[in-house]
Amino acid sequence: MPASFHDPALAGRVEAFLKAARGEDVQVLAMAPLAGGACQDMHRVELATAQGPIKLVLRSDARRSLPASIGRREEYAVVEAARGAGVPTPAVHHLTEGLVRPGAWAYFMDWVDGEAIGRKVVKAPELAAARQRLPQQLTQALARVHTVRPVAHPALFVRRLSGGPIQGGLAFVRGMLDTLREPHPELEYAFRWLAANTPPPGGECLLHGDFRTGNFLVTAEGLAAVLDWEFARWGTPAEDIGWLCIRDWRFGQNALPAGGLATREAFLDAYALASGTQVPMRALHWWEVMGNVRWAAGSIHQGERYLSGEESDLEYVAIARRAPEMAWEALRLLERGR
Amino acid sequence: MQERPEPRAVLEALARFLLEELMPAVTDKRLAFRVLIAAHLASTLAAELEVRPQHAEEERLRLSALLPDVPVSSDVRVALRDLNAALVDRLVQGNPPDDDVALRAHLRLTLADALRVFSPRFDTSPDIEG
Repeated sequence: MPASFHDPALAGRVEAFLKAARGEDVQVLAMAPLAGGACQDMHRVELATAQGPIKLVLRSDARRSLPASIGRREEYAVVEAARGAGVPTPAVHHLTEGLVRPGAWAYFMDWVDGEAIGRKVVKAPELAAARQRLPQQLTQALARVHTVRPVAHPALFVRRLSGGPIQGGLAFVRGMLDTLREPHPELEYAFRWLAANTPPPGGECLLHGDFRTGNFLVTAEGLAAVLDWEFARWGTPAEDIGWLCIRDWRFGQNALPAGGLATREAFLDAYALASGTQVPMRALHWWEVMGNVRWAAGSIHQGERYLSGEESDLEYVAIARRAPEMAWEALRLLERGR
Repeated sequence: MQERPEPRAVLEALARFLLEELMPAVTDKRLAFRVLIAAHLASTLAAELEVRPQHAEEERLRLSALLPDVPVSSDVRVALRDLNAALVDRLVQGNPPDDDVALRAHLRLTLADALRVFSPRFDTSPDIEG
């Protein structure tokens, strides 16, 4: 084994584990942490096998996680259900506990090439043709996610919101607002509007839960894979679509709200074609306001956790200071009415 | 006591040190990113200190007009905390201030003040979709 591993002990355990799991002699050629979201531990693993070298990602429970994130064990089941429904997302293997750290669940996933950086997906000239195809491909992927229903997968999640997606969503945000240490009248105002203007309920289904530009891989051909299922939960389709439209991840393409790639109308039309369901604009609008309030409250909460010593990543302080952007956007949207 | 050097100058010096001296010497990419964040926080703090007294006073005046019955401390920070807490209570209890237009205008102005400091490039026009 080469001497230059970031964590030689972990690389050694991974090699032994994969030998047993795959039932063949393999060798870890390289292993290094992946820069990624603040919420999970990920390593890129290059493995020599009898069929040639392969690349995997080792994804494990982080020491700390956000309130809404699911553990790797639940995530593994979600990805399997999504793949069963035909969603393009990397295949997952070898769910196990204690490999990375005692008590931490982890699994391996196939490495998929592509660009995930939002700014590049939205702006890089070499991806212009891909951007033409993305709205259709993204709506097809989402439509397939949304075919996974609670009745067919009753044990998929430990937690289930009571009262359905709308009331459950309101209760979740109410809970978050109640934990904030400083008063935030701008968020309370938006929350009152949400509670007083609920849209017609949609069907209940699996949500990706963080479907946004930055969480899918793109190549010149278009969508390569959907990533990052850690906020998956039961919900309603308009929730995923509203989240995709949040201004904070349009990467400057403000006139193309759906991920910086399409108008809301075009995206809803494509989604209707892909899924057979016409999500009303009013529902998308409501969930987009909700998403901004949720994002603002969540980022303030994380900033408070850093300042109280519960979190150790300085980035949370910086993110919290951007909460006014999301609060502004929530108020702008509810005033605009669409 | 006259603070020498002034807080704003100190913060700007901190930001420069972090960006120009420390960051180039850090090899760990993730740590370098956090140094960049630290530099950015220091420089926005400098801008915030400059405008905070005026913004705070204006916010206090608007809140007092919306909530005339709330007793107000002479300490602006305490006053703001009490007024904002009272406004949140009214909203949560379903008894908002009568003048919704004035309330929204107040919230917008308060947010716009914060955005000018924390996110100066953020577009605050009412229609960004075109």
